[in-house]
Amino acid sequence: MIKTLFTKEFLDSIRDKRSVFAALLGAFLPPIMFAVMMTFVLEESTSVDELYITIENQQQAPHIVELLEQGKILHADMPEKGKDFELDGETVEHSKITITFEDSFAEKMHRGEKATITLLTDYSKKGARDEVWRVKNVINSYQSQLVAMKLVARGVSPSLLSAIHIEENDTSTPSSKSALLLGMLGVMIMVAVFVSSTNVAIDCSAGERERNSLELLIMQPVSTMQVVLAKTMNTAFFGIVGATLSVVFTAIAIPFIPLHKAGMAFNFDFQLGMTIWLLLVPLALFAAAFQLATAFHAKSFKEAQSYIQYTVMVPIIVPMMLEIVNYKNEVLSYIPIFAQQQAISQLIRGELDSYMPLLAGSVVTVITSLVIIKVIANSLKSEKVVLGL
Amino acid sequence: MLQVNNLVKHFGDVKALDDLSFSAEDGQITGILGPNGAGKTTALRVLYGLLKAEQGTGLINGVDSQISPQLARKEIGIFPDKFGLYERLTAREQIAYFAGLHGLKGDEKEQALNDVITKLDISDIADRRCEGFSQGQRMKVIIAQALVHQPQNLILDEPTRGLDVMSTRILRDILLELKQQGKCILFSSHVMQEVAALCDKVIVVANGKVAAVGTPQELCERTGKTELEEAFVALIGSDEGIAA
Repeated sequence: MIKTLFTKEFLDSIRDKRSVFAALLGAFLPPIMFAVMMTFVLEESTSVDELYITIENQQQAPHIVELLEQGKILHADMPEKGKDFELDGETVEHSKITITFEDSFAEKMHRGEKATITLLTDYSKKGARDEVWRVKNVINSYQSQLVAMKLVARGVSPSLLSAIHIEENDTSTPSSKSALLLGMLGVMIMVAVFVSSTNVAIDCSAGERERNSLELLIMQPVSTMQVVLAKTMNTAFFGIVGATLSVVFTAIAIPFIPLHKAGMAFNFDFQLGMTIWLLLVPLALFAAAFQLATAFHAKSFKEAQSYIQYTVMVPIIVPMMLEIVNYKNEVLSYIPIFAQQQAISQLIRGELDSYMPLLAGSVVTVITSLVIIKVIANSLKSEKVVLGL
Repeated sequence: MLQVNNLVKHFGDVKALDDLSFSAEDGQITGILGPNGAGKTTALRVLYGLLKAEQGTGLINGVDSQISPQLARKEIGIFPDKFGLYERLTAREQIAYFAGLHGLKGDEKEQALNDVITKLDISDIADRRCEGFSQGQRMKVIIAQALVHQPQNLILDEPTRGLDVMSTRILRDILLELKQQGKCILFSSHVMQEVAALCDKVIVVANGKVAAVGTPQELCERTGKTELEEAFVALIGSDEGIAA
């Protein structure tokens, strides 16, 4: 009986272009969104842009010019108008900084006298201080090397120059840096489960009611429990397909994301993918039951859509918030959605100590789903629903 | 054999069924006539076991649908008030689905499917998706799915609504043939000519009660009218809810 019901539901959904498209969208969106977001964030945070300044009298200090070039500070003639100029066919911005080595710079350096570099810029310009800092930093480090060598040549230890040594330690580890972003990836995969199954859930409940076929169905010699079970299975199936594709695409996309640029290491291997997938199976069942429970209350497709767009906020927004504040609590591992969020978050961060909460959370999720299914089945027997048909 | 005994049902303060009793025998076409809101659909829904009556029983071949609805429903084919086909399924898949719901499997199911498709002469549309079917084609598919498991009883709720003359005639022929086979057919309608032409027995329902029972001929004689429509109006005491 369930087989007959399920076969029909599946056939009906798989031929619904909107359902299939929604499932694919749900599957594709998270990894793509994540990849784009990560790439953008990483490029932004790690790449050092070329800084174009005007260097006059370059021949006076070729060493310094070379050091500047190593620091991606390059010479360019001051543009006549505005701040942009053409370089190899591209428009680039000039920092409007000019440094000038005085005419006798090389000679003075040679004699050990104080030589002058003139730095000319508009300090009120946005970002000027950072740019000037970059230029000065190169020159200062050149100077301190030079001074150190001079001291050594005179038999004095250069360490006399610095009485205090500041030891800088960056406590952010590669994995905790990436943790938030990777945690978001986990949330997005969970969202994929919901997004992939929403359309199917609405179509087979409110949609079927709207098309007047639900009444005839419940007049047949089947129990409402069987009907709801078949519909949940079909909806969950679409959720699982979405989740599977989403996990696979993520595994494919991760190697293309330049995580190493931010010093992150993240290995989305087969075992991790499999564990996440297994966690998503009970979640898909829950997502199906949850969305069907909402959609069965609606009389039309549109009405159901407007309900679901709000109820679905809960499973999307709340895990996202928890992920951002990195909130961990034992109790959450036993509540559907949160159980999965906590588990996936820990898995991705490599903080998981025991598989027990995962298992317990999954069991609780399945039981909760079955309870919801039972409630829907009972509500379909109610007079209010029958009369609303 | 369909039978409802002393049904009482309220919706809030409104008395929808007021000690309603009637029966439909095998080998007969029984019509239920009544103005809108008389309780026809409610009575049928109680008979399907979809609604619970406060009192009374609904028997399908002697099985009380209030107690064991699923068992009782196995013996009926239903042509519902509002019918919707699964637009994305073909007619054959649609009928096969209902055959499956009635527990038919394998060869038996295939055989039943082919029989009913041939009988209703819908082999040309059997493998087309239902979207785009005409009202007449839809009616045939619904009849086919109601009959695929060869139920003893067929219940039709305003089956001729929205049908053209040709489709109505086809439906009439199907019903008469089923009657010949000794099936029990119960149908509700607003169309008097329909009822007068087809029914062996007419049950007039008004305000949740049976106002009169008899052959169309008897009802006319009893009220002293020549037309069933006139007789009907006389029986219910108003001309509310008649679509001629």
